[in-house]
Formats: sequence, C-alpha cells, structure tokens
Amino acid sequence: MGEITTGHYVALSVVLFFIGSVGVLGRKNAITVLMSVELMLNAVNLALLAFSRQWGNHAGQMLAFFVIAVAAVEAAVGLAILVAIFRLRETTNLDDMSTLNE
Amino acid sequence: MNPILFWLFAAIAVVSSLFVVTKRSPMANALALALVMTALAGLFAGLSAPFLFIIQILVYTGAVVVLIIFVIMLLNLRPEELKLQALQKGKFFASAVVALALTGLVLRLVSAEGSTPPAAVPASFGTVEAIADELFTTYLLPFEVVSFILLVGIIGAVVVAKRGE
Repeated sequence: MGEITTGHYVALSVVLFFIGSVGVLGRKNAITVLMSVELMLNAVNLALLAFSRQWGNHAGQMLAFFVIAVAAVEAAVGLAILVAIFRLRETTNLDDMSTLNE
Repeated sequence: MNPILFWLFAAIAVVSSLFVVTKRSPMANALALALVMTALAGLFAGLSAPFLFIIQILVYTGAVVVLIIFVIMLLNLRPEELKLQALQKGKFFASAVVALALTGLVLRLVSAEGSTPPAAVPASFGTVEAIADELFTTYLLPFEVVSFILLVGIIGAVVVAKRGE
C-alpha cells in the first residue's frame, strides 16, 4: 500500500458516482432513487475536496458546502413530493407515476 | 492520509453504497446510506476539511438520512408493495453494465499512477475559522442566495406535503 494520492480519492469518487447512477436508473422505488441521487452528490463532493486539498485552495470546499446545503433542500422537497404522491396514489413505485407520458 | 484509514473508509463506502442500490427494503437502503455518509465524513477529515467533516455528519447522517427514515416510516409501505418493487432485472443489469463500462473509462483517465501526494497545507486549512473568513467575504452573495433557497425549500416542503382540504 503506497501513499494515498489525489488520484485515489478521485477514483473512489468515480466508483461511488456510478454506483449511485445504477440506483437512479435501475430502481423502481422512488425513495431509493432519491437516496441514490444523494449518493451521487456526495461522490462529487469527495472529488471537490480532493482537488481543493491538491491545490491548497478553499474554493472546492466552499462549493462542496453549497452542494450540501442545496442537497438538503432537494431531499426535503423531494420527500415532500413523495408524501404528496403517496397520499394520492398509495404507491412509491416510479412505474406507476407515468401520467405525463401516457 | 494514513493509507490503512483510507482503504478502510473506501471499503466501507463502496460496500455500503452497493447495499444502498441493491437491497430491497428502503429502510436497509437508508441505514446503508448513513454508513456511506459517515465513511465519507472520515475521508473528508483526512482531506484537511475538518469543517466539512462536521457538516457532513450533522447535515447528512444527522438530518437527511433521518428525514428519509421518517418518511419511510410515515409511508408505511406494505411488504407486497415492496415485493412489486423488487429489482427490475433487465433495467438494473443494463444500467449496471453501462455504469461499469463508464467507470472503467473514467478510471483510465484518473488512474492513481503518476499523481503525487499533495503538498502540505498550513494547519489552518479547512478549519471553521478559515472557511468562515472566505464564506463571509468572497462567497457572501452565494451564501445569502443559499439561505434564501433554504427558506424557499422549507416553505415549499410544508406546502407540498400539507394535507389538502
């Protein structure tokens, strides 16, 4: 095990991002899809912090901070929409939420 | 960062993120997500970002995952509903293959070989003080915009989730 470089962090970030994308594309449960989106956002944050550390510049950390803030809002609003849909349809299955393309 | 710690956190993050996308029960997904967030917080600490380490634990593990768990318990999904939502084999494997291919491609671009460990940074790098200094000078406008977005989000979430008459 050699020293850990910025490349290691970015590689881990890429792996997590694509694992998250499988969840977004392949799952039918809306809550799980929302969680996978959060996973992808976090993977990007890891890359931002790795580059921030590489250049000794705070800009990446600031961007990651704003990403976290906006992701929290996105989760709150997304879950509120899910609750509203569940009241209406009694389902969290994305395949049952296709009124717009019928 | 200590290589052993890096590989430990990386393994926890990858394995539990696989649980997030493959486990059938949303509750298992949410608990695995909490584990991913915590492992990532550990990695953030190793990247000289103590402020974001705390924020990650507070906001993600403490707030977002707990909110998701609240909603899962609130919706009270029936087991037969969850069975219906089992992995759609074809769709899931197709996206997994595409993601695997793309991961391989991007990993070739960012391979760890040739990159060197970053130079040392001052001890104040990423501390609350250093972040606050920049946040309230250079990034004051984005900061105010984000606080407005948070306000809109709070009101929006209440309005959308409120029971209609």
